[in-house]
Amino acid sequence: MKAIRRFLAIPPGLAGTIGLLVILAISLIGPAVAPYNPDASVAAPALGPSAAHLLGTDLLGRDVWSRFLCGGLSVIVLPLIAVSGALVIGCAAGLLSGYLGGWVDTIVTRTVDIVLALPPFLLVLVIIAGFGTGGSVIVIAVAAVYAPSITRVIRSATQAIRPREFVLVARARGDSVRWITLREIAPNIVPTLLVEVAIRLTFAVMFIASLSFLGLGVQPPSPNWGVMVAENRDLLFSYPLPVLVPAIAIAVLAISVNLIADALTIFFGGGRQGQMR
Amino acid sequence: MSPPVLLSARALSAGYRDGAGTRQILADVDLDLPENRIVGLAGESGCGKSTLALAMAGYRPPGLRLLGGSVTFRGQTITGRSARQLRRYWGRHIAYLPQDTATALNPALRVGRQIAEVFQLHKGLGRRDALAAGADMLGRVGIGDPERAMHRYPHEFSGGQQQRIAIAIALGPGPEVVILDEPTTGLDVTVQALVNTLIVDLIRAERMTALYVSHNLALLAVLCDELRILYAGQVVEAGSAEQVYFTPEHPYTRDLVAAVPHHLDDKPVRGIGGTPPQSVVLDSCAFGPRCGFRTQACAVPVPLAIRPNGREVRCVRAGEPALAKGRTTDLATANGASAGLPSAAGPPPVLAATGVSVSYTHAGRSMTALDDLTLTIGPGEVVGVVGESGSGKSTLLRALAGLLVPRAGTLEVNGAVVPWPSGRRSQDIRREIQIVFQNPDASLNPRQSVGAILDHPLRKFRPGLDRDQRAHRIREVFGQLRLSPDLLERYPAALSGGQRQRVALARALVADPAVVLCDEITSALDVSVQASILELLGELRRASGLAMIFVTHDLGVLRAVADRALVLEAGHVRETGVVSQLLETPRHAYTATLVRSIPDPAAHHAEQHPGGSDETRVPRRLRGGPRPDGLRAGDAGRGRCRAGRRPLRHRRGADRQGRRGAGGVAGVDAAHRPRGAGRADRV
Repeated sequence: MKAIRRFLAIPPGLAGTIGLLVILAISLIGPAVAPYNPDASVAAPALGPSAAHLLGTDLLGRDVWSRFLCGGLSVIVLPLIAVSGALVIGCAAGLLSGYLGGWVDTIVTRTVDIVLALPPFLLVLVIIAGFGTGGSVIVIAVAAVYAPSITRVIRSATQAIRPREFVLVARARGDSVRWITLREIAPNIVPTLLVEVAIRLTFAVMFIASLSFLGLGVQPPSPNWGVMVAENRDLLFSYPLPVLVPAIAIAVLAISVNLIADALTIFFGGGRQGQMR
Repeated sequence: MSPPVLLSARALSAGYRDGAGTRQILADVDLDLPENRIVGLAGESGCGKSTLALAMAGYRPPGLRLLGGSVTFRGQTITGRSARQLRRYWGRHIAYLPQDTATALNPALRVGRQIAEVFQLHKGLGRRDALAAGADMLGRVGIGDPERAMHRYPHEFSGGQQQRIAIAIALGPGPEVVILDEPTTGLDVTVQALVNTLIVDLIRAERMTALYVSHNLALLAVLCDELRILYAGQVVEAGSAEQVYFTPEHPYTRDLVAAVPHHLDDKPVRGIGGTPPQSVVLDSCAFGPRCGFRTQACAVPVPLAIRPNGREVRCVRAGEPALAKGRTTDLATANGASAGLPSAAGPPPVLAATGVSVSYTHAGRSMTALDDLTLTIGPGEVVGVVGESGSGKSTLLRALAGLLVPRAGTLEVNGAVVPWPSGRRSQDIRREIQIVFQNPDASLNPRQSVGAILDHPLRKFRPGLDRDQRAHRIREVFGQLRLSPDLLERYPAALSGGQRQRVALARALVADPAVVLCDEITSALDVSVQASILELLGELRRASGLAMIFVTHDLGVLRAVADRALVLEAGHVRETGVVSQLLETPRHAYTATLVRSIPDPAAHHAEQHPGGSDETRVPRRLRGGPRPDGLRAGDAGRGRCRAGRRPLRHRRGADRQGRRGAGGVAGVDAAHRPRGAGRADRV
């Protein structure tokens, strides 16, 4: 509790947390309070804002406000799953290659170098071209793009901890690789990890929203902020709200996560020891 | 008549911003630097000595608030002036030499440019003259071939040489006052001795005035004219260096002197219990809670009073006969009943390493870290390993702990041959050999509670114990190490340095090992804490017959803990033997050099007053003097290694000249320089 209060005392931490909570509340509570079925045509197409339709209707006559309330979940959940997947792979590969060194390290770093040499959009497009679109493919593709950079960060953090004496003591004691990496080293790289996760999450939100906008991510009938921006962009000059509201929501989400990443850096930079109690 | 005071602090109070308030670090400090004098300032970490040293230079580090008082240079106030105004004084009148001077050199600029700059700036010399003056100054601090050195970059010099270059830059323009803040801490002992000799000779030759800050009392007693002892931001004792060191009147000074182990003396060391206050204490004696002589009278603010005998002491009971007797102690000598002569007839060794050779490959070249080392430890025996950085002493411990595999050599534990890598050792062998490292900050996982740190090895090595039995065992070890069980809940960051090191020791001891490998375990600690740990080790040995290999660079610590010792230089064993004999009558030239590098106030005192007459102004120097083999300390590493391999005969001639040149060894007090010391000079 004390740690949370101290985190919120950092201005970007407070702003980011509030922004994230607002977006989370909209996405989680939204589907329950949406006045209409987001996928059904409920009125004439392309109506302006009115009391019945707060943000008007889109070209298919669907209620934009209901679609907005229901479209947040996939914007948050997909990047979250993708980054979690990348995190698991990145941590395992990074901890092992950083701690063991030798040929394990050589293989891991070479693989990472190769994947990082490919442009991320190209890589994702190739995966989508091969496996088709859909939530799971997007998640796997994005995880594949982010895992190498997380691996790199975790590896160098592990290498910084490895020569420390408490690791030597554990080695002399004959502790297993699993114990040393997970119990001795991992807790010490949590700060690095949290910052990394927050940054990757920002990128992933934008990345998946962009894919959805391009029609490669979440498929049009289902509500999604990225999809909504794409669907309604023809209306931009007559009725800007159906484009602006989801776009702003995506921006707020990305900026909030980014602010939290900044605040985490400040939080852990102040003194690394004894704060994770 | 007393000389005029050049730099002076009056009622100086200062503190650091701490949240909303201010944590006071210095309280009403008066400090005078009389012309041509070297004043020593001693105290433990956190007592405010560095803050005071900086304030004396007029420098205010970020976060520091001046709460009162002033510093004056030749009568002009320098506190509260802007950096722009102070630049007139800095370098030209007042020079400051920090601890880690190597970082003061710009790695991207050639040495010549950096040293010429100060002559251009402060002496107004032209470029050509400044370069010539710089080269001259480099020569004076003992950098060989100064003309060539001017064209080299700082990284091309060794640590000791970088320190000399920094000294040349600081002292080059001939400042009137020099402030030195632990300028040689972190250097090897032999290098320390040389650099200190150099500094003091330069200061004396140029008739400069100096403030020398250090935690090493013996060093200050040798180098300085006057000595001030700082405790919790207050000067607690002031006087001539000899008076303060040999007849301390404040209980803290007395305890501090008693806490330092001496390499030629078997006196037991005594730690000072408790910890110093985190900020200034004004309403009573700050040392009170740790003092063995505290009475009701100590609960009032205590002034620094001038006593009838001219000494300045901040103690209400100063001069009472009870204090003069010193704290009563019932502790037996720290190394107790010496178990250990070479284990020829005794019980079989607990650990025996034979023919150990370790080499590293670095940039394609193979380097020998240890060459054909043999070592045995009997039960309950403590074997010391002494050497400077790069001698291979830590490598030896790591090999024994199974962290690296030697190129050659065998290891036996309790008579059975054991493989080197810890991964291939049996659980039982791993339990028998435990290691404790130098720096307790790095050896305890900051993310594990003390309880978890101690529980894990027990669970691993004593799988038969249940949770309660483990907790019981941990408490037992905590009791032995005088640690409070409250600490089990805490994380390492919440412990003091001494507590952390004791927790590290506890982790090694819980599983009941046969041998504990100690790697410089006291060198990161303050002397009072070091003394407590040494006391504890002595008790542990007497109580449980623990065997240890104790790696150290401090010959005093060696004497206090070890029975036998090994002197390592560049991976080679130079000498082995019983510690007292080794230190009193060293047979190898390198051991003799090491011994000579230790500042010895008693011998210095005898040197200063041959036949008891005062006022003989022999140039003060450390007993180290120039290296017998004519090498400068800066040429550490390979050069020294080569010299070490040279046959002894070659060195003798040079050595004799060297010693004659250094002079002043004649009237040495026999009590403090026993027979052997004389012989050492002839090696």
